[in-house]
Amino acid sequence: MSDILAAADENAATKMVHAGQTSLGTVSASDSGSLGPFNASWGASASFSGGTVALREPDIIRIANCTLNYNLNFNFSFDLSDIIPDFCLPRICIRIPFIGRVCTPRICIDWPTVNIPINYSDSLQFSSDFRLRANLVGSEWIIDIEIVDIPLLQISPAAAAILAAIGVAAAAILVAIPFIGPFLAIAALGITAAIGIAGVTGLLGPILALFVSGLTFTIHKLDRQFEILPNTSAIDPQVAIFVDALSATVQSSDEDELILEADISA
Amino acid sequence: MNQDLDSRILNYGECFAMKFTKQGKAIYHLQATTGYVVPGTENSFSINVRKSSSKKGDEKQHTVTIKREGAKLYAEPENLEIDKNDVVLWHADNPEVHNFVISGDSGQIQFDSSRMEQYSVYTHAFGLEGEYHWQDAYGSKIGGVIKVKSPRCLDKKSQTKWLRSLDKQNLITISGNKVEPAELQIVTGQTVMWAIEKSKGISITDSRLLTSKECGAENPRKKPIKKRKK
Repeated sequence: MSDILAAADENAATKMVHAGQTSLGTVSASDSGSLGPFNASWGASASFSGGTVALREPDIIRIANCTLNYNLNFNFSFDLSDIIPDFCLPRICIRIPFIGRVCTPRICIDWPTVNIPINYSDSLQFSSDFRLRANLVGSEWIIDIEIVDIPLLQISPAAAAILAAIGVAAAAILVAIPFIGPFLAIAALGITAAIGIAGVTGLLGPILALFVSGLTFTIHKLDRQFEILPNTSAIDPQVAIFVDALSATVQSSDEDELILEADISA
Repeated sequence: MNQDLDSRILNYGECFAMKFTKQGKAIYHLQATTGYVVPGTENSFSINVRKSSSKKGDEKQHTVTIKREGAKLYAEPENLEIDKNDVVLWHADNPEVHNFVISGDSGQIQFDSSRMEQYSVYTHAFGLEGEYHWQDAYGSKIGGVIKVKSPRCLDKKSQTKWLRSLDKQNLITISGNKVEPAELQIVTGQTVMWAIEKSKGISITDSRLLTSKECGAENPRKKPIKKRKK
């Protein structure tokens, strides 16, 4: 039998998980990836909050409706000539009474390369199982819960919103390009059509998966060495205790409990 | 591509033209800023104006392309032989060539694209929708409005219709303080040509580009440019 045994019910475990989410804070990453036919460089940050905890033997903490809050900024550039055709302003000749006939040359418009930055923030909920893990790291025992599988993330609504945001951002940027006016609607539509929902999902999915893959919350920390006062006498000196072994499990009796068991030595 | 409406500094999509009504050899320069350059320095080009061999009405236009090599602007062809009353038109051949001024001296007259005088032409292709209130940056009272609208072309048919409308002739003539017409309505992509019959040196400049000081400024070159004595 262990020297020390501590138990937490599901309410207490929920508080421990929420503290772990707060402790994790905001995590960020950046890279580049495909956005439909375009290459996009991106930066993203995420934090986690909420969710209800259910304990399952032998070592599973199931978190339902955990909220993933994320901010995503990405930008992609492309040659506008790939979306709308280049064209030329025609030669214009005017006979001016006091000068004579004056003709302008043909002026050809080569569409520029356009850079479109997008910033998008949203949140989504997911449910997943986390496995308990106790590790001695330096002079501390760390109790973690680590996600078991990558959960299914419902990103379709976000993908649709991002695609719409791309259309709006593209129109706002393109409108300043000389001579694009008559092509503006076609160009904005062409960009969103080229990317499509699948293109946004193809970028967003792996980014969010990156944040939940291997997701770990630290739910408790314990110093390996700490001092206690014996309860035999008030004048007895305090004693240094070492936690030699620590385990975290879920046990079911009349209710499901998170159990921490420690073996100690003086 | 610079879309500023300002004849003082020319860009791709704009042209400056001038009718040469006097015989003689004109030397001109290409500059990146306004201001007169003393003839005879480097980077000069020439126009030799001969006695007219053609009948009245048979005057020709000669087109000079402005190109850039590194930071240096040059004209192609470098030297022109033209008849009296022929027109020379300068333009840039690609968007990389921007901010240029043509200024020269024929011995009898000086000419300067940044201060247009008699028998000068300035053209500007309007690429952006909007209302352009133009005026003379040198303080004369001339001015006008160009209203540019962009059609929404959602199909091939409307695109073709728009493209066909681009060769519409939009001419504004300036004679002293008289501007005709004072207001024009065009669509995106159309070109407006300003032709100057009489002037003491003006510009066609979007009012938004002028500071309040410039708007109310007196023409710093009050007197017409004098002919040089031989």
